[in-house]
Amino acid sequence: MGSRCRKVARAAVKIALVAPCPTPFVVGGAQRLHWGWADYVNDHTPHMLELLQLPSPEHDFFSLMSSYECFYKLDLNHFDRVVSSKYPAWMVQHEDHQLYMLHPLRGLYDTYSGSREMNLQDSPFLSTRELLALSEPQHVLSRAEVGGIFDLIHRINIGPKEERALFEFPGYLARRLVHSLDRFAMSSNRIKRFAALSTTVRQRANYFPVSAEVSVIHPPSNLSPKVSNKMLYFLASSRFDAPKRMELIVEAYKGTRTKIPLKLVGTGPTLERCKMLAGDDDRIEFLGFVSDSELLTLYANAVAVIFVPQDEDYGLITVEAFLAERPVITATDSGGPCELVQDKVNGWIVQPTRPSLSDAISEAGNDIERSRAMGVRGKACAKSICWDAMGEWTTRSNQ
Amino acid sequence: MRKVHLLGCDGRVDDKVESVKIGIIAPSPVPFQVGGAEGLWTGLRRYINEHTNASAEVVKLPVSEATFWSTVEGYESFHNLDVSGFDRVITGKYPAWMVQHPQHTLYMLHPCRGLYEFYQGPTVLTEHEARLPTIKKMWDALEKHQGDAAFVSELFAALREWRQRPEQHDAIAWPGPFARRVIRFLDGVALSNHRIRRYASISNTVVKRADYFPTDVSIAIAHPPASTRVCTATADANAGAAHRQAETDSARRSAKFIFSVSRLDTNKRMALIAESFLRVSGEIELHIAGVGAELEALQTYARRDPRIKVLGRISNDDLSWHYAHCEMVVFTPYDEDYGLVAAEALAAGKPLITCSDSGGGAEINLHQQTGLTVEPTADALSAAMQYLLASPDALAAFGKKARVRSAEANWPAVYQALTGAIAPVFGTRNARRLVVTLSWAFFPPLSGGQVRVYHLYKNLAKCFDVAIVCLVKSTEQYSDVEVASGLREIRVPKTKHHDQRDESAEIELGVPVYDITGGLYIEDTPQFREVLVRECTLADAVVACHPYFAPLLREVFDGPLWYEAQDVEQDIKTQLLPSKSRLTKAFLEFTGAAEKLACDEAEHIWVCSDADGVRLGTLYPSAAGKLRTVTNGTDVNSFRFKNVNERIDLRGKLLRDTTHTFALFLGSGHGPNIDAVKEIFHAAVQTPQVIYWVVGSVCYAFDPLQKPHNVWFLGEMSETERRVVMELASVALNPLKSGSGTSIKMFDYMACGLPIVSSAVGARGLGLVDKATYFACDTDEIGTFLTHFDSDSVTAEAVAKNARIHVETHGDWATQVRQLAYEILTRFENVHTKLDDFR
Repeated sequence: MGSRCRKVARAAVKIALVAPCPTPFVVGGAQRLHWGWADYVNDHTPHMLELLQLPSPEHDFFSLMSSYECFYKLDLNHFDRVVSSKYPAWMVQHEDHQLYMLHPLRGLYDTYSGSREMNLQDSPFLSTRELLALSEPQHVLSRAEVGGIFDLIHRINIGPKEERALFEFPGYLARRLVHSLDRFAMSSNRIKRFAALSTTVRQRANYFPVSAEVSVIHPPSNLSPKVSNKMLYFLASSRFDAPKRMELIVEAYKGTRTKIPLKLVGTGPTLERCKMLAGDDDRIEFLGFVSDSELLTLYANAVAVIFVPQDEDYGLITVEAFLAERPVITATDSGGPCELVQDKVNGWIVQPTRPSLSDAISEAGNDIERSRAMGVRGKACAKSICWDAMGEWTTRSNQ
Repeated sequence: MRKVHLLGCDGRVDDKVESVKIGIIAPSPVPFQVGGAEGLWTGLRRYINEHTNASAEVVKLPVSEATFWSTVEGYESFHNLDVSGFDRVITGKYPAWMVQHPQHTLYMLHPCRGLYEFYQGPTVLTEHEARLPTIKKMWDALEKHQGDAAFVSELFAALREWRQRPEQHDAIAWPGPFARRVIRFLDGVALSNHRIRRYASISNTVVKRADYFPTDVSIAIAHPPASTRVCTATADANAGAAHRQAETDSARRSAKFIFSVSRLDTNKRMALIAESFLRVSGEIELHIAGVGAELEALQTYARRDPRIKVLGRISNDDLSWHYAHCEMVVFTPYDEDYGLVAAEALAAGKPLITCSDSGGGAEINLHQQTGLTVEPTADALSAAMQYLLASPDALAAFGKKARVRSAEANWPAVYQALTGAIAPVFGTRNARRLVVTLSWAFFPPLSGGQVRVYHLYKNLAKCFDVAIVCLVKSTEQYSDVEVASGLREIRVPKTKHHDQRDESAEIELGVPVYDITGGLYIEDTPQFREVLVRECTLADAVVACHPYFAPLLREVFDGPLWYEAQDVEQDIKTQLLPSKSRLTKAFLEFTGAAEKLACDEAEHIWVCSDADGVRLGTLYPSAAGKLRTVTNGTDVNSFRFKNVNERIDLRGKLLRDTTHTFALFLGSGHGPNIDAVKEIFHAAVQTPQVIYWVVGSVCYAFDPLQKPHNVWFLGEMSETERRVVMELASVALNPLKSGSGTSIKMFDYMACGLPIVSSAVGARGLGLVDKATYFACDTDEIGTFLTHFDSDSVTAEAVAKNARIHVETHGDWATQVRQLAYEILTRFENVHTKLDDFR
């Protein structure tokens, strides 16, 4: 065994997983992913992974830019490899840099709704005009130009208030510069290897350079699921905001005659509206916040889990429902969940309309034994998603 | 307060309500290596996120200590780091503690040791440095500005400017006097009590090091638990890892081996272990894991003796396998801060061999209990290894004890030391509520019963909100006071009428019966029921402390009821009440009925001793299967262990008497105590060289003129006074002939290092062993025994030390109740799951 270990010792790779730390701090999905990832590599492989997270304020354009600059200047050359997963951490400079895409600043990408044009050719502010010239769309910055951009932004930040006011956040200039810096960060000569957490993310416009070869690695859930024989209710667990379309679930459910109740977990801005839509339908129950362990029990005793967000990056809910051996009802435009759900095999993929969703709910409720069997098939799918693939990608040798 | 689960990877966030955001700020070493600190911070982050209402993240900046300049750069980058996104920061190492935050906790690992205790260079400027005017100027300025936070920015600016000038770039020796003064100045500013709100340290070894902490600050010691890599790496390994495990298991299941792991630096003295092992005979291997400077030297040993295997760096899975399968762990560094390896060995339940100068490693290893602590020589080490290999019994016993010792270092304790917040023992604090009834007020705790109530519920209040509703005399006011964190004492005064009925009963019976009349006539004080109903609306469970309010509790609350039986009331009252009185029959009937109801209805019954449990089970068959003994304890950590020399010193200072032996007896005016003092009188006549101190109300039962001159009556004393007396005395006596229950004072003696001479009755129920943890002596033999007894002897000292360890494991309220709380909470988790099913 001694020889086995010595062989391993020679191959140990020192890796820095570099990421932003939200300011003010909140525990988000990215945090949990990074923790699980780091623990896996350190505990189950001979390699060493250091999780480096720097506070990254982004309350306005200028703080966001200083976060970009901070990572750009971070010297991590004492590591063999650097892995990044989010803006602005991917600005870090390293010869062996791998990028695992969670998402860029979505408010300036796919959910951007501000102006896409702005006439600044005649702006009296020289620095802004220079910035504009440097951040030409499609142009990939050189390192000298990146330095130039940060210098100009410093200058503007201490300059006249009228010039600073041009940098709305989110807004045209912010979008243009962030796209420009991200394009630099992701240029193929900088990144050794690309991956994304889902096909949905891989296919999003402008996320990756056109020529990039991107593999997809689904991350596993950190929760250990419970399994139960009971199938007592439909479950939907999500944040109540517009893209999660919880109203659609309530309305579709109301359109069914099933006796199986519906439980809704979570809070958020659309909660009140959902309660109003539910009205006096006593089959519908709102549970608000629940703890991890309560949620696991809820999954285990459900008939099916309904999850119909709009263009979700990934959606760990799908994986967690499958681990609890429960089928998932999702929609054709839900993104991530559609990568795991197979229609009529381990769940349902329906049109995001009230009648189609009602039909699927009724179908799931009418034949509970069939739903149970579908859940078991879901489990097989979920079990194939484990840290091994992430670990292998992270520590893969370059030779 | 509850947290919600985060479900996606799309940047949504948990809505942890009102969660405190904690930043753990640390340096990431350049070149990168994994040391003890990494595991510590990860473990702390995990505990906070999974088990408390707070959330935590580790923020690290790479720091190189290669040169003076890179180190200063590290200090400056932490100085400028924006950590305003956190509500509290925790740091443990330079230069991370330079970070600025109004709620800054220091959990000291160590400063740059090369500039502190390891520094051996000059303490005045080198000739070369002195010739540079800028350096000379700054040297003097640093002297002048010691502790001046305002000077920090100026210093950084000046240093940054010099660094630009090539001729001065290499001028500063590292380590050297100027560098030392700069770094120690920065540490001084960062660690002053203007900046740090709470101080804690990983070990006493670290606390004792010169200049680490400002003087006059109080520092909590919190031993960090062994990192989870030992305990859980195998447990939660996924299928792939489990498979690998099985594979390696079968390949390895052959030779026995001694294990050691460490970074292979010189001061870890791994070569010493190899050297010692050469002299160990038998079919045993030595496995050494880790990489570092001494790797070559160790490989040389391996070539000399094929039984020595040098493994290099191994994964955590491999590491935990080695801990699990080795015979023992040897860990012999020089003056280690803490020694995570030592902690991991104990956690794995393996005997540990450390050296007397190993610092923290020796601090947590209990000699002859969890392992052996020996001189740092190859002779001593090889003898220790050989001895353990030859004694499988010792190996097994030490291993068992090691696990117990390891459990004393736990995250809840660390979290509490770092934040001052009540640390949940288990799970997230959900503010479950307990309502307790009591026939008397318990705060301040003076009598034995009050002390029990106070400590038991104060410790339960770490994971419950506890409200104790007490019935008090009509002359008192209603009050509702939080007497300890999470513990309320609500006093409800009786009505005048209720009080009068109690008084007339006492007059008729000749003994106090307020507990019985409290329960029997409770309808005279309707407010008590009202308060109870109000408190119970939010309760998750109720506790009847004594049986008298159990009937009332059952009326007002139909959820779980528990019974805390402090005694077997039926027996006590039968003995106590005069058989002639007409009231006696009614009172005994009520007592019996209340006690029966409590036993019938309760889900759990907590008793003080196993004997009480047996008796209750005989009287009320329904009690069987629900009994759990919760013995009395003490707050062990509030006592400092005083050894023989400290006691003699103190007697010299306070009593100007270092020749006499001082024997202490503490007791209230109960019958068995009065008999004990009579025995002491006999002994005193035989032993004029011994001075007997009698403390407590038992003194008032005697005519002071009749006592021998060497018996001193000190009367009733406050807690503080009692502690002084316990620190001064040479020996404690407990010559009881009869009595029931265990006495808490015995735990106090053991905790403060006072050797005990006691009758078998006096030591009953405490798990004490003659000549190991106390000295057994019949009540009428006290005089003879003390004639031959030397309280300053090595034997007495050893017994006192063993007793302290005994009380730490068996007599500490915190330890006891933590276990109890765990059981209760586990029960609630089950209840919860059930509730979910019926929702």
